[in-house]
Amino acid sequence: MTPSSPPTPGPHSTDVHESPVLETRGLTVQFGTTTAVSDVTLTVAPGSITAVIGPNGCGKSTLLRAMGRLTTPDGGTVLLDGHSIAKLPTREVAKSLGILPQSPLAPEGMTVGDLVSRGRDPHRRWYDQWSSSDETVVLESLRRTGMSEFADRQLDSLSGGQRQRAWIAMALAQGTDILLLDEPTTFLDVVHQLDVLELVTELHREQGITIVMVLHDLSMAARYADRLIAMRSGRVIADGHPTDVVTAAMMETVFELECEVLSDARTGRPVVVPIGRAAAEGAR
Amino acid sequence: MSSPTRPAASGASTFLAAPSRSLRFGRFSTRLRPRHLVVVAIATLLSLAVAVVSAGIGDFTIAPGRVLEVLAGQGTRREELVIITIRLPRVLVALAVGLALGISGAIVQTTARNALASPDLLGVTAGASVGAVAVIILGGHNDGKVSGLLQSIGVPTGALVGGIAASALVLLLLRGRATSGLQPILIGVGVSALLGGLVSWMMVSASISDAARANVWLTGSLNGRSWNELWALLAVLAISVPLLIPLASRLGTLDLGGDVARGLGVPMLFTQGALLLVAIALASATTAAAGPIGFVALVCPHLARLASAASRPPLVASGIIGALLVVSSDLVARTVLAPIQLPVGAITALVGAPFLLWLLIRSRREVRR
Amino acid sequence: MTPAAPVTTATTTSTATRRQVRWLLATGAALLVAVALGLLVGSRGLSPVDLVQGLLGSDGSAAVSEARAILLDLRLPRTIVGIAAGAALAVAGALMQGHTRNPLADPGLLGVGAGAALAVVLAISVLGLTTPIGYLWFAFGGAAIAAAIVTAFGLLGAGRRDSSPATLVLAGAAVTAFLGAITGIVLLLDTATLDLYRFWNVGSLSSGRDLDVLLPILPFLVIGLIIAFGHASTLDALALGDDMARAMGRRLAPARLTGLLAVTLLVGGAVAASGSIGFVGLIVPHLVRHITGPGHRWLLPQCAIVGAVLVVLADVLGRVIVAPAELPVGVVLGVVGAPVFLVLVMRMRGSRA
Repeated sequence: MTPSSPPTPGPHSTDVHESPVLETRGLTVQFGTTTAVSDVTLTVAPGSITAVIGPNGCGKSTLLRAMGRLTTPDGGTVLLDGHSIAKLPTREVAKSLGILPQSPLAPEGMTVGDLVSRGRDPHRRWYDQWSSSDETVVLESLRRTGMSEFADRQLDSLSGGQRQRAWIAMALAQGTDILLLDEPTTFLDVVHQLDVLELVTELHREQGITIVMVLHDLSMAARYADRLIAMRSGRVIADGHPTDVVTAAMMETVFELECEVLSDARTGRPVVVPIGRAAAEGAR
Repeated sequence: MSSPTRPAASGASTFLAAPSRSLRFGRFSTRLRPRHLVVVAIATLLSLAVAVVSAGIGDFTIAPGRVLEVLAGQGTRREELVIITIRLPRVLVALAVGLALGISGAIVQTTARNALASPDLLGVTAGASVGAVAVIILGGHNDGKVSGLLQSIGVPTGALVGGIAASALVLLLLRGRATSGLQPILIGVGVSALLGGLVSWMMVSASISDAARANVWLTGSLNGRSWNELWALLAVLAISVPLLIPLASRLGTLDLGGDVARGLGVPMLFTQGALLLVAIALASATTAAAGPIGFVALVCPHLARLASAASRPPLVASGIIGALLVVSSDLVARTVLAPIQLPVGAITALVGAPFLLWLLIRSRREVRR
Repeated sequence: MTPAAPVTTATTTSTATRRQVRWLLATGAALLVAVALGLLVGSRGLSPVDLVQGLLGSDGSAAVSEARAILLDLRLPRTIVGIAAGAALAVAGALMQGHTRNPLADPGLLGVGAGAALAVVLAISVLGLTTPIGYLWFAFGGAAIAAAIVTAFGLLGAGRRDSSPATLVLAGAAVTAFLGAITGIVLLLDTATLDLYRFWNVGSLSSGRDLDVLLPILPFLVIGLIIAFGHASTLDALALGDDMARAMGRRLAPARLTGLLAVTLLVGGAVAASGSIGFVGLIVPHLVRHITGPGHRWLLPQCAIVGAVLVVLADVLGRVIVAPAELPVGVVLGVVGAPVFLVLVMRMRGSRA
């Protein structure tokens, strides 16, 4: 029997439900003697799309992982709607917060359909492994990501871009209000990078999913995000709209990169043209 | 498997459409995988067939048809003595050992995300050996009654304790490290070597008769297995299997890796811990019952996975294929060089070792993060 | 700092050399101490005076004769066999590690013992040989063949960029299990063989092993050592990877074959003389590398000395721990060596494994 309003993947924007607020307070993460994230406090506005950028080793992935409770912080807290994420049952967190780690590996032989159906895990009980709502949500997730025809294909037989879309379909089936993506476009060629980012922003637009993603490419980050957080050595150096953050001066501080910042006529967003390594202080 | 050239809509519909793909009853539902069911059915039939044949073979040969009649209660007293008292327990122990080892191996391989993991390589077998040999050598001499009791309870208990202690040591050494990759295997190899050294120490220091008895145990044989061993093993299985039912549903998610699984709300520490505990208990119990029988826990999950065309070794199929492997190996061990009875562990090693080498050769994609 | 490069380099090199020489003297001294312990310690302890008198010759008295007998018939042979086996296994281990670029390579771990055991068992069972001298060549042959197979497997692995050190260890475990199963079956069929075999099997420096067993093998060990030492610069080149080695003008196939030959001679000889002793080939090169660095010119000779020291000391330990009984060297090294192996594995970064 189909319920009167079929469950849709993504947040239930039809009801009064409000997307939870994800925030960090004084977040610090250390690995041995190295501090990867140092005293970061920020609030992710519901319904926003944020990109975290920074040089290698600046702590952006670590920050995302800590926000997604994959890494335990050594100091500070991560709060979901005011509750410490560490104290919430992990299943409950998984119903509101989804995270796609860097370069996930699916086991040999797993099909797209199997993968996407895994996304329903937080909503299932062990005795109810394939309810009708599960089935509906999975089919819908496949459709929205354009993966319906690949449902029976094995993941390893797909291209990088298609694989990534399958993982996003899984996250979509999870039905969370917030989605964290750790470097979703690394190792993809330009066209597939665009594909993935377009898909992500479309999901954000249509369903109001809050997105936080770690990106390598400065220009892509500036183009697709409403808010950029620039990190260096574990600290947040800049935080704001891409046009405010992506300036030559800021790129020099954050990346030690001398560059020219142009404006993309179509999107109005900044585009970074690298010139070279920033000269050492005093040598100019 | 549908071909990639199908039009869009039917791709999704073959994935989910046919009603036989899922089973729903009120609030309960499960997905059915036809191929898995076929594998399980065939393997079960074969195991039972081999078991019946094996019960009939020996000094006093009985035809399989007759064996069934005897089991139904229509045999002569002599036939009943031979089959029900002597051979049946042995065959049932073989099935139970294979079942337990197959399931244990499937759990370990999926939980550790490591195609080469097995309870043997995680120190369980070596630890159980230390425990059992210690009881045999340190505990009492050839006085009839004491040694009898010690033999039937003390040795299996020693093996169980030893197996659990050794795996605890390996897990302790692994604390905080990734369980995938080959580092944990190496730790298991190292711990096994250490424990093997201890076993050698005890063997060398013991009296000849004790050493001989220990050696018999060490060769992993089903000779002389009786109803005692069977009940003990069945008890462990009876406790473990119900525990596995809720846990097993998490295995598919664990297979996606620690990060993704955590992201999907799986309580990793609890789930992995509980699964490994069950796997270790099963492996220790089989070593306690029949001595160390190698390679079953390593090989059967792979066979089950390949036969079911699945992405991870299905528990039930691994168990049943394990049962089939052990009962068949025992049959071979008993008959190929009759009247000498080879230890079943030797046959599983002869089959399993080349298989491991083959796995290693094609291991390029097997070891995953 | 003035750019006085050539002078600086030369000074550095001779400093380094002097340092290495000092270390050699140190380990040499350690060897002498170990030998002394090997000769003096045991269920019948000897004093240094006994030692000197025993070596110099009997003066007819019963005490001195007894001491001399113990010395010359028991202690000296087993110590010499220990030195030979230890040196050979350690150098073979260094060779295997260098060729396979695998820090976990060890002849003892890699099924070599199982190969020798099977050959010995077949010799006893099929051909009816009964003395260690008799099945000496079978042990040698079996160990050599197994060493060749496993090293070849390891070389297959070394050639692939995505290979892993543990593949070799697992291959060794598989080969050991397989050969062990066959050996076990043969022993079951022929219990008389079991009696003779179990004493041979455990790596031990006593129980029938004496110079009669060692002397025929010794030439092979010496040749193996010579080839190994001469091979040092090739090993240094190989350490950088096959491509780099080729770029530096080395020809790989002859290099590999030479290494294989040396390993086979050394391991075959050691196992034939003393049974299967594990971990020496694994641990000693790692220990020595801390002293000599990775350069094989100094590594290999030091390995030989330190390996000898290790085996002799393990033998002494075996005599002491459960006196008046004896623990075979193989067991002592197994119980001591395994933890060291574990430490090594745990220190490896996860990505390496």
